[in-house]
Amino acid sequence: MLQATQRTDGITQVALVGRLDVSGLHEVDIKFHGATAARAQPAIIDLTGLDYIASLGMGMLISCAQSLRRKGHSMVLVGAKGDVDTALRSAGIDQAIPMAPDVDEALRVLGKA
Amino acid sequence: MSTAAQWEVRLDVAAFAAIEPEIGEFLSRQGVAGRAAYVSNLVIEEIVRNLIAHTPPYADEETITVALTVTTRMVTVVIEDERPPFNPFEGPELDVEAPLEQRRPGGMGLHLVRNLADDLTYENSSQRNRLIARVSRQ
Repeated sequence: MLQATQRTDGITQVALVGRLDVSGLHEVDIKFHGATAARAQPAIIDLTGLDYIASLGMGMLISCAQSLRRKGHSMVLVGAKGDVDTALRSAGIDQAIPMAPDVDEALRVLGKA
Repeated sequence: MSTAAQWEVRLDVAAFAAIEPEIGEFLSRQGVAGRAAYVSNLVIEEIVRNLIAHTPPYADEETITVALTVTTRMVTVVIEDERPPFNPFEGPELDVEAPLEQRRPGGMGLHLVRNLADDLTYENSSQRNRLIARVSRQ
């Protein structure tokens, strides 16, 4: 599931919640691209409520982060915990997309704190 | 004591998506949670999706077998197929330190399987690929 939060500071904030397995990803993929890459502004992706992600979901994050980068914007992942955090780091996602423990730190990474 | 379950899956994304929740429910009913459930699900998803990705449309009616055995200490995943031999250990290594501009959205699945499963074995005999992944419950 995807939850977009309206912010007034020119930053997109989107939460991914639940399981990004094959059917979960099918449900959110287009919405996620629409809520992040298509908006062409810095993005914070809240993973606090994410229970499962595999390579397909990681590919979606990479693809959107690259799209934003081409438009001169950054994406920060926030709040990944437990097995989700382990899986993301195991695939080196943290080397490609900054990961922050909370939104305040993400804003600092984006230079908006 | 162990409990086992098995699924026959067509090499098609929709067919796999339909049984993925059943696999999760089976693990949950056996009390498999946390890392063991996560990694078992991930191994199955990555290997089956990889098989589907490398299956030509004319062969998508072929089926594979996904079997799970749960003991008090271990979850064992066995995936068997009759596609051409494919050893997941022989795939290229993922550069996990590559910056964003050098990454591509694909190519992470087998890396995750190799790194997160506690033990991985590949066999090919009688024209059958057999991948065995063991995930500790400790």
